Amino acid sequence: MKKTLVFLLLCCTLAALFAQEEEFEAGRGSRVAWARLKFRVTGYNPNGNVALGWFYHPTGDVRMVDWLRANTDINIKEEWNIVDVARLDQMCEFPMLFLSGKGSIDLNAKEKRNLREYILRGGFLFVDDCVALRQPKEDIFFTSVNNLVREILPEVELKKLPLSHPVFHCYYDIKRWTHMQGVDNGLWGAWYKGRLIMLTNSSDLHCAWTGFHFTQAQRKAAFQIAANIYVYVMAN
Amino acid sequence: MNPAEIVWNFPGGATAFGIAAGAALVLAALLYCFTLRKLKLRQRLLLGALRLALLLALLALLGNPRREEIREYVNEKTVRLGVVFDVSSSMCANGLLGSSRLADSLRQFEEAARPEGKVEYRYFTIGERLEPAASAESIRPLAGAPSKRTVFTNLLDSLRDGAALFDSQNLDAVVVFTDGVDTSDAQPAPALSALAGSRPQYRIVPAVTELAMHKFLEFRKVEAPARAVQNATVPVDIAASYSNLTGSDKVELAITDDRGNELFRAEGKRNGAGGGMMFRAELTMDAPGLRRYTAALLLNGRKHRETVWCLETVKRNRKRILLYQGTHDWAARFLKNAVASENRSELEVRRFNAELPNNNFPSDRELAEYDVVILLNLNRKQCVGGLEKSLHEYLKAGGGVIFVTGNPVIAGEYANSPLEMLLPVEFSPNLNRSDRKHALTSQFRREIRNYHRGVNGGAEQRFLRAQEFSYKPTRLKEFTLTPAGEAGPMFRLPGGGEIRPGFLDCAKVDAVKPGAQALAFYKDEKGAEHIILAVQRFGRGRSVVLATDPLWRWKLSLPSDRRDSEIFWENLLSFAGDAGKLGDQPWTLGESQPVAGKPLKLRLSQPEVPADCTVSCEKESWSLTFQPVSGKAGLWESSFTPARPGIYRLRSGDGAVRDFTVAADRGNRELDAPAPNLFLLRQFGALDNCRVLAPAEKLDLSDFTALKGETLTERIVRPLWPTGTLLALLLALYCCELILRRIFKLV
Repeated sequence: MKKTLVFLLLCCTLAALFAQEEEFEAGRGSRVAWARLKFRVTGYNPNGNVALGWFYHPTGDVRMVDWLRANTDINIKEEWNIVDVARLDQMCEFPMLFLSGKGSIDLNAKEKRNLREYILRGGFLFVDDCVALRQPKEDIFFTSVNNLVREILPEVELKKLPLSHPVFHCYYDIKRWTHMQGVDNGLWGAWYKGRLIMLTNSSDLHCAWTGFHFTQAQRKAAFQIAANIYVYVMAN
Repeated sequence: MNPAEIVWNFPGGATAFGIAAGAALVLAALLYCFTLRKLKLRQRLLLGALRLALLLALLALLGNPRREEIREYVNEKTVRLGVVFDVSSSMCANGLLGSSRLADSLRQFEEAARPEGKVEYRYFTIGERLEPAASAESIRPLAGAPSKRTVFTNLLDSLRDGAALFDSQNLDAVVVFTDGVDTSDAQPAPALSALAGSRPQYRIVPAVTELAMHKFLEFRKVEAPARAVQNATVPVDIAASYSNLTGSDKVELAITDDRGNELFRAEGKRNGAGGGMMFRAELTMDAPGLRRYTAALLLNGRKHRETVWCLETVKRNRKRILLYQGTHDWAARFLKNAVASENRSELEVRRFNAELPNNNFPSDRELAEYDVVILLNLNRKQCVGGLEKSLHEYLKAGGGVIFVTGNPVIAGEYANSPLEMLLPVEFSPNLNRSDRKHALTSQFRREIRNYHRGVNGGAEQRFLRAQEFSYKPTRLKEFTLTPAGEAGPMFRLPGGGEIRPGFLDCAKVDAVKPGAQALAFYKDEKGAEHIILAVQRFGRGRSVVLATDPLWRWKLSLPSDRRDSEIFWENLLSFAGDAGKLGDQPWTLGESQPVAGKPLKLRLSQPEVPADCTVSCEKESWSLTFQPVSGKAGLWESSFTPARPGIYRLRSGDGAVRDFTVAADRGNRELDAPAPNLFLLRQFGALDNCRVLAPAEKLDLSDFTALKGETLTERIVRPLWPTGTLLALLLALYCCELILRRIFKLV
């Protein structure tokens, strides 16, 4: 009797789960997924160890995906993916790649070509400088990515976005830029032949997604600005 | 008459009658063998005989003997036989051996075995029409030398009209001598139907005498749009037919514009001495305006035939495209980039927003300003506020609608909806299950669930290690083109090559509607084909369904120097958006190749009565008056007889223009293609009441003897003797027996 009840309960749960999945799809557009770009960095050497700085806290990405699923109609899948900058075929499966890192981005010639080709094909980079607690404030990663883009696309135009820019108002109405930690450079955009190809910031939004010591308001602001960035880039 | 027979039908036949007679004898004997009173033998015998006679007479009555006689009467009838001779030029021209087809047919008729009995012949000739003739001897070729006479054979129309005439004259059979050459534009179906429904039996005797060779090369049709958008590439299909060409004859088609520039030249591919050939040219429209094009068929480098048509190039304004999306989608970014790179269109992106007026969908007036509306991932419940009605009117007025979704849940909601009525497909209402959860991420989510202000470092490490090298790129599914897709311009790259989009997700389509065209499909692992791109005309506009995701993954998968994605979208948007501007050619001609001196039917399609319509040639102009075409609203008909060859221009009151060529009366068209048309004649052989003789078969008219009279059969039955007499005999025998029994004091 007990086994039967457990079995029935399991079936009901599975059915409910599948029903929820169908409900999620019902109001959504084309499927898309989130991906973090994997690359090398230099110039960052915590505790004497050379470390890759791309991988910190997938918790933040997953929570950002959950925020998008819960608060927008974007048909973004639950999964979190890692794609390698050395693999153009992997990169080109995602219309947007999230870069988070510490230190100076370091790509070889092939990886630079891949990144350039990815951008020329229509891809977008969302770049967020990761700040380490109890480390000096720096925006090495932010600066190095901007320089890299200038190098691979000399005609690129980089400029800081004012608060009046539509990116701050396209989904949520953001009246002020909430700087989380690190060096406050605001939000910068890169345009190539009139097309927006990258948005960078050094305010460590990603850490706020993750949680840590930030207030609820800060976390919400971080989610909102990222949601605005995602929604804005989808249409521009 | 058959001699009379005596028949009877006693139950059980002769055997039973014998048994019954035997039983009657025994009964009669037993009756008077043992009596209460002693009788003499003579008395017993007498009574027994009477009783036996009675019983036998009764048996005879039961057997019903009768005399049967069959008489036949033959109803002598006169066979009415119609004989039709084709006397057109192809029948009268001398053959290679000197004798014409008509002469051979007359001889064949003379030598044919005739039916027995009374036969009445009725003679007819077919040339331009069916006409009665007095006798076979009076049938002669039509006056004039065959090569100079302009005789057209209206064989099919003559047979069609003749069927009613043959019925009215009560003809039993009709024999037709013809080579099957019909130089009118009539279709066989009316003649076939008329003959099949008529009473007479038909025999068709093909006249197959070979005539002298005459090279024939002629335009059959020119298919070109009446209007095109500036810078568009327009396909022009030209069909030509030829006969009696030798292997060394070279046929070319050259197309020039009205400035004399040669735009196209190609050699025709031939198969044998006779047949048809097709040319396909692609002309690029440059400056706006009306342009006349001339196509010339060259035979061995010399111009043999020429025809003209005109095409209006419409100025290409920048197309206005509306992308109305139900949800946020990456398609907007990629479409914007595609449209911007081509720089011929403007794309406006709007998203459904219930808080804005009309849910952020344009009003009817605003909608009319757009050339194309793309509905991207629009949920069924977002089609509110008259959106479907607006789109219906928009399409009818000439707009283009492209419905894009790769989400089967969204598409399934539209099954049997008003919006689906505008689209070329029927969606499957069966919803598809989504992807299963990603196991690793789900597991990670569970492990970090309770970590709201920090991280589960261990879980993160495990997750990273598991995910770092695990990503496998997904292979995109490729479009497979239908024959319509391959033939059309949608998937063509300039300079050659084919566009093959790739996609990941697709919605389920149950069927393509009648009248719509499927351009591409996808074959899954099980081999089932799923339609993914379909188009149709709706009113004056066009609707398209792209049942896949919006193809941005395909764009990302292509090298950046490849413009396949941009060109595909440009083609798709042009297809959807240009229809309303272009429209159909309102003028149609009754003849594909008009000839001087022959009346030409003209039809004009427009809502009101045509006014100020003219036809002109060089400096002369004539006005046209129109009558409505019965049963077809908005269609008007007029007639005009071009007096001389040349290039004519039709112009309607609201500016619709068409140029056409009138050829000189070239002489006898029949001698251009003199081979007997056995294919046409064999179609008549398929009728139940028609037989086509084989070319070498002798004509035997005695077959029709069977039609000459009816045999009537009469069956006369008389009883062998009158029933009343037999009954009287029975009564008499019984009475005698009773009397004798009284005399012999038995009773």
